[in-house]
Amino acid sequence: MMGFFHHTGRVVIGYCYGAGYALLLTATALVYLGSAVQKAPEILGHMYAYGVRTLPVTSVVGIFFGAILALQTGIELDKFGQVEAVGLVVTAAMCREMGPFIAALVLTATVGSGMAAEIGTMKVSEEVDALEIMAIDPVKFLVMPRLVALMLVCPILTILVDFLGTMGGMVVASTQLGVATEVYLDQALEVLRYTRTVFEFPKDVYSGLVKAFVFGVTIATIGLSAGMRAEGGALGVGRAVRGAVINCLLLIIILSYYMTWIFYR
Amino acid sequence: MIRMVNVHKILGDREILKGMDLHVHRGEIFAIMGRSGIGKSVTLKHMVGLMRPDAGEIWIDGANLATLNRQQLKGLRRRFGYLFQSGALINWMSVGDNVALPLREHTRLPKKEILDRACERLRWVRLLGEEKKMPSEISGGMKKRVGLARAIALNPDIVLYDEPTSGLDPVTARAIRSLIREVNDRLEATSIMVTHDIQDAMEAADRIGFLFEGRIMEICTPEEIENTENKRVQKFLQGLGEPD
Repeated sequence: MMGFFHHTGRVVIGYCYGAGYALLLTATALVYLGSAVQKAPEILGHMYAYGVRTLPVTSVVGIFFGAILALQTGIELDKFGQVEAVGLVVTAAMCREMGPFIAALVLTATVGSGMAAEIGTMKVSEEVDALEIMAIDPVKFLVMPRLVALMLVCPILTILVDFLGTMGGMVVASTQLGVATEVYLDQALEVLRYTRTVFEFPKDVYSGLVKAFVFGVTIATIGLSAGMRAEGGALGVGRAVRGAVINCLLLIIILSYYMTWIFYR
Repeated sequence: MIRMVNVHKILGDREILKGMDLHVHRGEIFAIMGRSGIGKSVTLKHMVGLMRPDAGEIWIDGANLATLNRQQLKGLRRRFGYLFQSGALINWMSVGDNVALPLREHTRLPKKEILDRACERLRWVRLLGEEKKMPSEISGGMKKRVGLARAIALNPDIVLYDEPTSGLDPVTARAIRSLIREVNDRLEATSIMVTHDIQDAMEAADRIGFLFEGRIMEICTPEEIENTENKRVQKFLQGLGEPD
């Protein structure tokens, strides 16, 4: 019995420590935001790696997700004679929820895990210690540029996924559901016209972009902190990557729910 | 110059340092010898504040490490050069960029001058012309030499070497040993190296300290080592005793 409590206590303390470390790491990185201009070439390099290199997979997932969404909702809407509304449903779903979610999923799988592995390998091979001894703050040198890059890339990818998903839906709507392209596009644009609230900017789009921004920060924070806490050689790096991906997925879905609640309740 | 007073350190459930006392004089090369896993690297990491002692004091040039804040510690670390066992080169940077890194981060020198200084340090370690290569493209011995070039880029007055010749062939190891002496003379620095290789200590060090059971048990010069009466040192030098 004592063993159970001992183990549970250790797990809980471990999670609390990890969460505290990640928050502190992010806060420290944000303190260094002032030197982002000085680090602009590195940030742009990371943005290229995170954004452009993940573009093919993000595009394919975005297009097909829009297509699936159009097919599933279109079939059901057709039963009620509302199949023309498929453009509205797909666009709203993509902009509000699926765009940021898909971008975040792809970035978790590619960039978040990559960050944990890269920084974790540096940690276990004493490169992070070497930076500290050279009086170079690893947070400023390693964490801040990657965090800034991902917090910018995630919303940009989300806009792309929103667009490609809507287009994927359009193709399915016109070829499978018999909805004219003009009708589909008109419905899609209706979503954007209908919800102008902040700075004449559609709510469905900006709520999705805010989500994407938060997801970008979350993925970077978890991936980087997992890497910075890695220890114990290759095994430790593997553990850090696995933990980072699991925690990212869980946090993204939980945060997504709460942000939806804040925006639409 | 560097003084450790009654330093204790527990890692996990093992007490690594058990009242370590050590005094390293300015300008000398001091070798800490002992078996693998005895706490040699831990001792070095304490000297640069990468590890904090559980008890005891560490003094660097009159400054007690425990009383320094983050900024002061950062300032003190700029006076250190540290050669890691693996070289610890930043793997996505070229050899030249690795050596130039501390100069870029801590000086306002023009790009040209940084490049010149990096090349000069690479020349010291006989690697001039290799600056474009990536760490993955060079051998273990070259990595150590690049690590040394980076460690001395800012003209440190204390250079620490963690197993500088481990895993190297005898020729490269000898080259590294002579580099250690050369660098120490050129920079007029104080050097401390930890090693389990008696050749390192005999050829490069002015004094040798033997670490057993978390303490320095014996200090002698390379000339005195053969006549030491310390039985543990004698057994260690003859490779006797229980393996790990």
